[in-house]
Amino acid sequence: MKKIILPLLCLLFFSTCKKGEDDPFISLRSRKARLEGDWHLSTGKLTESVDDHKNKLRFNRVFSFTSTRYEATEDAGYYAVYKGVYMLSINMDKNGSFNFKEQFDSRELFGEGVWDFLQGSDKIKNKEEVNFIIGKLTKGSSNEYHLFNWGLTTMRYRVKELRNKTLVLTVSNDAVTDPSNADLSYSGELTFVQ
Amino acid sequence: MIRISALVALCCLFILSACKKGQDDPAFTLLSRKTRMEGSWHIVTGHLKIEDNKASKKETLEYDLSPAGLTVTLTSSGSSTVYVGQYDLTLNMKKNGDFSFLEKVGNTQLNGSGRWSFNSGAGETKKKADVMYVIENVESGTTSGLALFNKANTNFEYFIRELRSKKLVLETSSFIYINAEGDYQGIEGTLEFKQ
Repeated sequence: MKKIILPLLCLLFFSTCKKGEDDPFISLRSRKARLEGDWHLSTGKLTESVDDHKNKLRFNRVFSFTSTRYEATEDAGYYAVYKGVYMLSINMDKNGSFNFKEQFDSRELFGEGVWDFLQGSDKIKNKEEVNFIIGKLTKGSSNEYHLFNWGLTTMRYRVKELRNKTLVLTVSNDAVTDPSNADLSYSGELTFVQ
Repeated sequence: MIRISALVALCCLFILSACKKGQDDPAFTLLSRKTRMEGSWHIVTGHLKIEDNKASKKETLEYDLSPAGLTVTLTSSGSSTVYVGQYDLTLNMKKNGDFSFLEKVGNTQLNGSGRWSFNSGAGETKKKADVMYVIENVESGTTSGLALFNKANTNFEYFIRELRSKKLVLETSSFIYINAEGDYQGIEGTLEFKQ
């Protein structure tokens, strides 16, 4: 009987430790320690949605990322395909600071700031979400067209998978919400490697 | 005996002071931080300063806020102009992480809802010293407009300076916009609420 109960208890214990849906089943390193490091975007998909209530215009721009390139398709009445350079790296340290570099075609956004995990609530597990606050830029402007910060200075991502060498961030966020004018939102998944 | 009592008292004092997150928090409380945060909070007073520091424009907007109204002092190129208008802010926070708010600035308003959570304390910031909000639904108004509470963002944070069962003081100092040339639009100040 004891032989069954003990593994069951272990199973229960470790499964509750998992925060992201694709997190490792067991890890001896803390979540903070695993997040630390130099992360480079390897693959990803991001959908930018515009819902213009005034002009009754609604379209999606879907970005696919592979290493240093992007390809975007847009369904705004006509079908368009764009291709270009996209690179994103985030360096995070255990004491809560981060710096990042994003190159999106000819636009560059280099900056630094603070990050923190968020505490859990009924809908979100403890440390399932990570918050970034930009405090300084060395290149670019926060309100230019960029995909990491969506034109803002504070961003929140959900950590879907966090391993020593793999980080998967997901986003489902409204950058601007205006029922009388237009909404701009982002959703997708970004995979980083160290 | 006296030495042991003094040691115990010192230990208690040390433990209790370590429990304090905000600088004006109560020294001791039996209610959890989440429980104290729950409720319907109404603005009592607030002071926010929005500073536009751009090469093309340098101006400061200082907002003195209360349910009785707002006074905005616009300082630009050495001269000041004062505007007065209506103001109100109500914040409803639930223990399960949901929140809603209604802010009226002059004749505009932002009515929204979403989720809130405490920070986890990476780095120098204490755990649960900050509160983070994410707006998920807007009934009326715009998140990028005149509204002050959300700092023109759908995702925003405040430092909790004081959290008691009937009193909440939030503090902010952050950028709404920033660039590499040193231009910025920053917001700083405090908001005091009561239940």
